[in-house]
Amino acid sequence: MGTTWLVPHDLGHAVDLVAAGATPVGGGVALLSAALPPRLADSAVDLAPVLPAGQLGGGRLGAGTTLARLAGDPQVRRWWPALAAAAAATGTPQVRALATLGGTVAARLATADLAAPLVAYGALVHVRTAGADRARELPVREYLGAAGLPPHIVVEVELPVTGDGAYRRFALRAGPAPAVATVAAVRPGGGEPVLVAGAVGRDAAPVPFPGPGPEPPPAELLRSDARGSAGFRHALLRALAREAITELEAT
Amino acid sequence: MADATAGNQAAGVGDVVEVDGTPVAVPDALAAAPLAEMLRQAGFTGVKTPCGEGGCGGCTVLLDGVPVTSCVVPAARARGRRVRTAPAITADDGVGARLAGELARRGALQCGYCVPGLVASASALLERTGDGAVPTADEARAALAGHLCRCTGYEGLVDAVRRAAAGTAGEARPRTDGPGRARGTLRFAADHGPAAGALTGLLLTAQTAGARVEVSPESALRVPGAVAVLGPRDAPAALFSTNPHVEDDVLAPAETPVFAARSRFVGDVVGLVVAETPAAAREMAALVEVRETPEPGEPSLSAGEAVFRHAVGVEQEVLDAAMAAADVVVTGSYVVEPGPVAALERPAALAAWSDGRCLIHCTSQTPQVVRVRVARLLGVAAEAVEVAPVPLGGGFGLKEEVFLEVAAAVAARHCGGRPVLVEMTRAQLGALRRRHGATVEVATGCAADGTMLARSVTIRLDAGAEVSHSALVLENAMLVAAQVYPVGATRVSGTVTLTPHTPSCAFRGYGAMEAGFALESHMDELVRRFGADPVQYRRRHVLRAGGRDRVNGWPVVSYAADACLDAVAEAAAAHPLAPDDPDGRWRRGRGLAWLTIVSSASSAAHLDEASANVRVDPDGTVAVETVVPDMGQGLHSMLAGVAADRLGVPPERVRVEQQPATGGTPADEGTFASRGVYLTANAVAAAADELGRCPRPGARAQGRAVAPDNGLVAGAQLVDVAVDTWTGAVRVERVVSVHDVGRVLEPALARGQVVGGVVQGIGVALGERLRHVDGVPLEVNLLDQPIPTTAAAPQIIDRYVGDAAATPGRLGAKGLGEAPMVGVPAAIANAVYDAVGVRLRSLPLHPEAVLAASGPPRGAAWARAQNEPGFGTGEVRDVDRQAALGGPGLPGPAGACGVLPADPRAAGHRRRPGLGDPG
Repeated sequence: MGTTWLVPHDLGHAVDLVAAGATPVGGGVALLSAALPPRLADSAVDLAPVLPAGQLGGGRLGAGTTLARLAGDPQVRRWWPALAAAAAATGTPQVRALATLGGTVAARLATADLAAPLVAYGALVHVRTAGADRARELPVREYLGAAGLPPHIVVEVELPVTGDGAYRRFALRAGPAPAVATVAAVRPGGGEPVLVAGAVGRDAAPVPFPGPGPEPPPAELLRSDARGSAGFRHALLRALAREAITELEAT
Repeated sequence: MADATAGNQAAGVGDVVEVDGTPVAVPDALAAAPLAEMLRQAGFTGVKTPCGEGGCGGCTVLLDGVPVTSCVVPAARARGRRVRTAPAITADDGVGARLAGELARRGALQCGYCVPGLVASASALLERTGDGAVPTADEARAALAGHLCRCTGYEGLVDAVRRAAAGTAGEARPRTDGPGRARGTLRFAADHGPAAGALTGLLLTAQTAGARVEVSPESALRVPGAVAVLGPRDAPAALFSTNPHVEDDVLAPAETPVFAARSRFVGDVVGLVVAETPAAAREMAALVEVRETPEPGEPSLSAGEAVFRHAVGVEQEVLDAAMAAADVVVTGSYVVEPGPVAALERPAALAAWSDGRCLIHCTSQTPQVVRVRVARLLGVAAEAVEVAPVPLGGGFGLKEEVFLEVAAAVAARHCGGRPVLVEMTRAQLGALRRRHGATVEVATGCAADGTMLARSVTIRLDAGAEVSHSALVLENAMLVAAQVYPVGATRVSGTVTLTPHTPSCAFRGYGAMEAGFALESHMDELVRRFGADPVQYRRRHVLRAGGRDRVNGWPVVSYAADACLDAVAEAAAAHPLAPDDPDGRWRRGRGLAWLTIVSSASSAAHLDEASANVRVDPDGTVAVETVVPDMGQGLHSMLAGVAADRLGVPPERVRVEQQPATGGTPADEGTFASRGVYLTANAVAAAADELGRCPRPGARAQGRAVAPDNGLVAGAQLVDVAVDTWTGAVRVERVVSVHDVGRVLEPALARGQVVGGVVQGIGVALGERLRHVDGVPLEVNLLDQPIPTTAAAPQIIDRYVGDAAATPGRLGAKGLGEAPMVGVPAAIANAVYDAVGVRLRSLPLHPEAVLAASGPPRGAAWARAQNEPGFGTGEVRDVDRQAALGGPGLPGPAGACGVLPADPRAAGHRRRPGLGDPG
């Protein structure tokens, strides 16, 4: 009756259980929320005991890192400030205490704040699938836009570059709310700004700006939904980009 | 807690969570269930679940000292850990107790349904800041950002938390129900389920409209823990009206089935599954076969069927002649989209049968009516049904109806009398109830100097799939439209239209906000058309005491119009509008709206009345007996204060005993129409006056109050906004809220009502809506609604005026329950016009609509950027303005105006002088 809760003895075991049809559970927030997809299957695998958390060295962050930790970690704030800001802007304080980096990426919600800065920093998602001895690396944008991925677990996220960054978002109210549009502006290695738009694409994958300035991607590439049209999002991106660039220039 | 471990199966140490010091097993069957659900099933009902979405914070608990939303934590994650809930947090002698003490005061919490969760976050904040350190208001608001409150507007909560940190006691006295609400120990309707061993009833709802429905139980009944499946064939055939106030073939027809055999809208209730546990009920609901067969030959509601028409005022020919004689006729069409009510406590009913009698715990604002209506539908005597006294977790009209009680009673009888708790999910609620959508057309004929000579108002209400309250809401909206400006030739007409959508329910204002948005937007257009002063123009035309009620015919004896206008003008002068920001991106504007609303349900056809008892016990303490629940506004505290004042006894010696609704308890229809002061409190005053000063122990009296009129209240609301010309966002920065309530009985409660109403009005104005696409309700979750958070912190200035001596009733006081929300949307719309020259005639003022209408972004920063290479043109060329008004596939209603230019800037948009505008 209901969903069976499975506790794996190691990561390999967890991968096998997922391959057999169980839902991997990181923080659990999106999975249990009545308002968000996806849903738990007949069985669920508790990843908390087997997932790495925190900084793993070499720009690698454990998938089990909570968003609260991500937002407050001094090193994350120093090396990937746009990511820390996006983590701090996600959900409510109570949700940030629960939700994990891996779970947030794997949920592939279109409104996710983390997505744009992860793309801007060129993040690689390390996933484990059944039968593989080691994790496979996927560029985060490819991962978020991919359809039909095999059963897998996100085990870590690698950030190959560091750099100054700024993060801006627009939502329909002040305070915690799903994003209508987000912009991450980062300067990898101090070079030209890279701007990426989040919460605006036709799927969960962020959309890069065409150039280093605030001219957004064409409206044709953007999503229309109940929170706003593609045209509105296009206008928002231009405004958010200007703010983010201004902050970036001030750093 | 005695029943905390009831029902837990044996488990190893590793399966146990320590909850408030008590070891509680997490059975494997509940391991993947939400922690909140497990805690409530185990009896920890201080944990509330307003949304189940992880968005509102109502379920927050401390998990190893960290606040988490327990509705999105798998219960297994708590194994081996420590959970603390509000009753335990507030039971200590330190921070928790101080928090509870301050939150319990008048003017702090209201319904308190959000407060147990908030206590968890607040206690963690105070632990972080350390003993004696006081967080700033901004720090407190940030820490509480994950908690939605629909009642208070947050000010009272934030202040209470900061007082608790400082160890400084507030000045206001505690509410009579304050400690229970603050500590999470007060039991709301659904909280009685676990202790009663209630079965879980989960509604089955239609996926299509206009379909024949059959429910086949076989597959669902195979689920372990399944008890019953009920469909249309298992309920009484009789239909009923959910409107508690009238039973009338036209005004409120019997139209609602317990379980619909033919679905009327997506989300219609077609059946119920009953199980031993919530998890089993969910599994049953997923498996049960509900066949919906389209019936194409059936009459469709999609074209909009007008089921009620009404008109008041002069005949059409008289109006036409007056319009023809006018120098100028200004017309406007205004739209209010439907939206959520969003009380945090979801509607629920718990029913049980014993010896042929049915006991119901339910979330009803009108328990006496529910009792009679349920008895009749079930074919038993009214005396066989009792509605237990419970508090409400907010109402705002959502619970002003006969709702789930019949389904729960039918299910409990079907299950041999066992208690059955029916509590709809938040998404089910989103599909089952919304506030009204309205289109209001206003035409005003004026003399050349602006004097209003003739007025036509046409109101079209979208009822959804049931008439329910709609005819009465229309009548109330029409009453407001006909009354507020007694123009010589006025005609107000209206229709209620059925559509195959979510039924519309009562909502704060009961049509006054919808009518007021149109009338006060229109007044602002007239003010600008004639270059008039907003206050003075209204002063020239507004209703005054001494006038005659055009609908009911009685003299208006209490309506302090001039005092309200004086007060708002004074406040405007004292608080000038801030200038635009130096960069020019944010433009500021100021808007005024007049408001009027009733404080009783009296009309020419029916005088509203109430009764209550006052009793002096042998120990000298006083009990006030009422059947009316306190839905958060502080009614019971006010009743206690009235009794103490009239009897001359210390307030702490007076308590309120909410009585069960039976044939032997006071007859009082309930809490709605802002009638608590005008009716119920006057009844308490009458009873107390009969006892006299310092009555002897054992004395008892019944008091009765009859409202001789509808207790019309006046008010004015002045709003300052800042509009972001880059994004269309509107930020409300200041609100002056002036109210004629006669005598203010409880200043702290009044302030709380005003702040809460204003903030609720901001949400209504700026974003909340509930639309349908192809018949499917769109924004059904709480996460879909931009309900204001703690980040909404405008300066709110409250002023009270009025003549208590002229106000009917022993107390010389009128209601303040609904008024503070009513004028806010119109005032915001007028302020937006003042800021950017954009007249938006459709609520909500979605930023997309503001941006699309207001043209290219402004400001020096934008201009600078425009000249830099690679920064584009700076023009918002890509905004599809048609789509922007409603979004693709969402053809949003757009108001229109017949006289003013489409772009007011073309006519030279000017800030209005006056209203404190500098320069």
